[in-house]
Amino acid sequence: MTTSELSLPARPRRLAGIRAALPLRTLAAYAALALAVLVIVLPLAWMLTASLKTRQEIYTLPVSWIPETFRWENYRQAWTAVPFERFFINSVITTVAGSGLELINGVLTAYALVFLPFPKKNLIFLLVIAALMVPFQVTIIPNYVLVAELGWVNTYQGIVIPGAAVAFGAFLMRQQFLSLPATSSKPPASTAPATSACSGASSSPCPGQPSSPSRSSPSSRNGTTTSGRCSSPTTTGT
Amino acid sequence: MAHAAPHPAAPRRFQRLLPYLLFLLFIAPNITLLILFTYRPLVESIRLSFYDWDLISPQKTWVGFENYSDYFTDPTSRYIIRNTLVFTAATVGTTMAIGLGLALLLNLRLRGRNAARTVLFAPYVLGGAAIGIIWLFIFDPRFGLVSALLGRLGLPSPNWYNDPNWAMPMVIIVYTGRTSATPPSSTSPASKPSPANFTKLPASTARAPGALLARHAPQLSPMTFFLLVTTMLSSMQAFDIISVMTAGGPLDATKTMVYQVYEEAFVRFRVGDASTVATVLFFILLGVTLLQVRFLERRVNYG
Repeated sequence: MTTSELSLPARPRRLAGIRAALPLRTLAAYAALALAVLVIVLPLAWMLTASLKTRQEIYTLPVSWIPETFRWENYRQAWTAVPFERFFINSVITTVAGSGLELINGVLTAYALVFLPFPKKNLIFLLVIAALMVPFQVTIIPNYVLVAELGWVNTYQGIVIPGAAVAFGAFLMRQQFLSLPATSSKPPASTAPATSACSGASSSPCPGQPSSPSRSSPSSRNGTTTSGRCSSPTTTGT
Repeated sequence: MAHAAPHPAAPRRFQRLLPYLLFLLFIAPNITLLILFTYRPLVESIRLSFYDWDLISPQKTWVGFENYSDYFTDPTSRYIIRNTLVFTAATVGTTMAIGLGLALLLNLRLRGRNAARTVLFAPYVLGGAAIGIIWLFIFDPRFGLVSALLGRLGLPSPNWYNDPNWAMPMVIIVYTGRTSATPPSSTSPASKPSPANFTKLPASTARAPGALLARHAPQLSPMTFFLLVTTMLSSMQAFDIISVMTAGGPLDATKTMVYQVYEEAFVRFRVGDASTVATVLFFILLGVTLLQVRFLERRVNYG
């Protein structure tokens, strides 16, 4: 245990603890990282050069990395073959609106699931992540029908609203919130809805919150702060 | 609190209920949208699995469990289930393993690791269809980069597109290449040396050997749990790369359940059969996820 504790989490474990081996290990780490980057970059570089080649040159051996002649007109053709500006604007609008709504939904849902009390929260959590199990192909037709009934065909809300529900993001944020260290999971009063909710008037602590004066910040002494995870069933470990 | 009555009891009760109300307020938009655009279609799909319908005609024929008995007696569906499991096991396994390795590498104080992190995130940005098309060129048996590399080693290039034995590995490689770079780069924040940071950095490391890992495994486990559940769910529903690269072929060799759903519904117009596969797939996914939540999350340490 003690020898391996010293080892960096790099590949050659048998060299652990030998000081002279450190540069070698660093070298190996760089090599591995370079390999990973190469695997990602090579196809992208290929795509970039292919975009400037003629179709003929794409299909010649050996693979040439620099096109014989830079065919910039490929880009002009692609640009004019479809109404590219329109497509681009559409993408920007649906992306900004969609990801904005998803962000709000994800954070709110995760916050509620982690920091606010409610009976059977685990079932609600399951209801959220079970959405990840419904294949996209299943939802297309019923959603198209609904969007059509709402008169939203060929509108931005017709694309954005059906996609504004978020399961993945809520799950990710929940895990993130749950792994916050205990100290920082007590948000300052100004930023935490749960906190401000409880800081109303009286001195009664939040529901289900045994106040722990030993660990709480000054502000929580008069019961104005709930400790981080209101009645979260998973936090009893530590 | 404006309507705090002279009663002392009223504001207190209101105050006690407020967090519960906030909970409902916070989850309401998301849950409403999920019910409307995910669960309503799911129920509809389950209902349609008891019918024969061609997607167009106004007439739907009730057939009871016939679609299911057909599905479970058809050897093709067994082959497709097997494909789905092979694909999922291979991609989830490699994604977690490579993701772990990369996360550990990025956790070392190497020069240029932020640049590397950015590069590794690129496939996630590009989208499956684009990745699939690029890699189709790269796997081209005659002109592709892969065959050029193999040729340099003196090896013949397999016919990736047409050989049922090689199409699945190709799809798995491309899919894993896209996903495995994602866990470390998407879950790791910009590098600031802080303990909180470290807990997020080696995203998928909790199950790996090594004392350093063992020491930090508790902090890593929430993210590992998340990655395991989500990569499994997305692998079992992988569609775009398969659709672009092989369209389920050759000879169904890369056809997975979700591709079967697509094909039955939108190519063959057999909505009943498509819904049957979708329903079976949903319950498999639900079962596996419930098992993970039940037995794995109990061991997850939420500090």
